[in-house]
Amino acid sequence: MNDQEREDTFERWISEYRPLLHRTVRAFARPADADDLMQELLLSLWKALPAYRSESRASTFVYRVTHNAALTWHRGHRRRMIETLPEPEAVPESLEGSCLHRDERMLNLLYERIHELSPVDRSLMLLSLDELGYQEIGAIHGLSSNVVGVRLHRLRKQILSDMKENFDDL
Amino acid sequence: MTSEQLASAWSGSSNRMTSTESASITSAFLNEIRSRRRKSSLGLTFVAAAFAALTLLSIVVLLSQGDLHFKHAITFALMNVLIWTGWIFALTKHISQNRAPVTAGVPVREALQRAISQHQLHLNHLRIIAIGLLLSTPLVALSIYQMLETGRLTPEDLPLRIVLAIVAYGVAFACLRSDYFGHSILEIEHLKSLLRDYDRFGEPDQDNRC
Repeated sequence: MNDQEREDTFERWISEYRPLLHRTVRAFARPADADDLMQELLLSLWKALPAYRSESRASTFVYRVTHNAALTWHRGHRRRMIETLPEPEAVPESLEGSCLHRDERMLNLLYERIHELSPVDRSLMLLSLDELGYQEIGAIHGLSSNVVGVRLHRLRKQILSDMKENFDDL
Repeated sequence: MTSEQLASAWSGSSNRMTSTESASITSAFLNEIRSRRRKSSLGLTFVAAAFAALTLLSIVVLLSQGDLHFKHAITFALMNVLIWTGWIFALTKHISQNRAPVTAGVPVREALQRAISQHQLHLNHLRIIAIGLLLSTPLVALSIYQMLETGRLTPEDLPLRIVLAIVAYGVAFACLRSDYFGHSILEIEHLKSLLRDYDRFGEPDQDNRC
C-alpha cells in the first residue's frame, strides 16, 4: 500500500465510519477529553491501515482497532475517565417537550449509564447498540457468541431497568 | 422504556458526527501526518548528508597528509556514498510506510495480550541494560586498579575515570528507577486489569442464558 492509497483508504473509512468514531468517543471520554480520544482513534486507525487485508471486512477491522484504542486510551486518563459522567448537553428551549427533546434526554441518560460500565462492557454495549450480531461482536473481541450473548443480556437488562427508573421522571 | 425506544434514540441525528466535522478532522489529521513525514525525511537527509560530508572531509585530510593512498580513498568514498544512500532510502521508506503495530486489526482481547507481551519484552530489555551497566562498574574499577598498578594510568587521569564510572552507575540507577520502568509496569497492570474484565466472561450464568 503506497502513501496515496493509504490516504485514500483512510479518508474513505473516516467518511464511512464517522458515526462509529463519534459514538466511541462519546462513550469513552467526557466532552473535555473528546478531542484527545478522537485524535488517538484516528492515529490508531492510520497506523493499523497497512495491516488491513482487503479480503476481511473493513467494518470488523475498524471496530477492532478503534475499540482497542479506546479501551487502552485511558492510561493517563483513567482517573478522569472512569466514574465520570458526561456533561449534560444543552437543549434549546424551543425543543422542550418535543420528540427530539425526549430523544436527546434519553440519549444523554443512556450515555451516562454506559459511562458507568467497565471499559469492556462499554465496548460490548456500544457494539450491540450499533446493531451488530453476537457473532460479529465475538469476532471483534475474540469471544464466543454465547459468551457475548450472556453478557449483553445482563447488560441490557441492567441498563433498561436503570433507565426506566430515571426516564419516568423526564 | 423499551429496547426499540433506546434504538431509536441511539440512531437519532444527535448521535452522529456531521460530514463537515468529519471532513475537517480528517484533513487536519492528514495535514499533520504529511508535515511530520516531511520533517522526518528532511531531518534524516540532513543527518546523513552531514555524516557523509564529514567522512569525505576526513578522506581529503588523510589524502593531503599522505596517510591514505588515492586508490583506497576512492573505494572508501564510494562505499560511504553507497552506505549512506542506502541508509537514507531505507529510513525514508520506513517513515513513509510505517509497519502496522502487532496489535493492529486483531481481536481486542488478543491485542491486549500482545500489548502486554510487548511491554514485558521492553521491560526485560531495560532490566538487562541496567544490570549490564551495574555489573560493568566493578570491572571498570578493576581495570583502573590494574592500570594504576602497571603504571599505564597516572593518578592525574583518575578523576576522568571516576566520573565515567559514576555516569555509568547513574544511568543504570536511572534505568532501574526511571519512568520507563514505572510507565511499562503501569501499562502492564492496566492491560492486565482489562484482561481480568474479560475473564469475568468465563463464568456465564447458566440460568440466564439468552
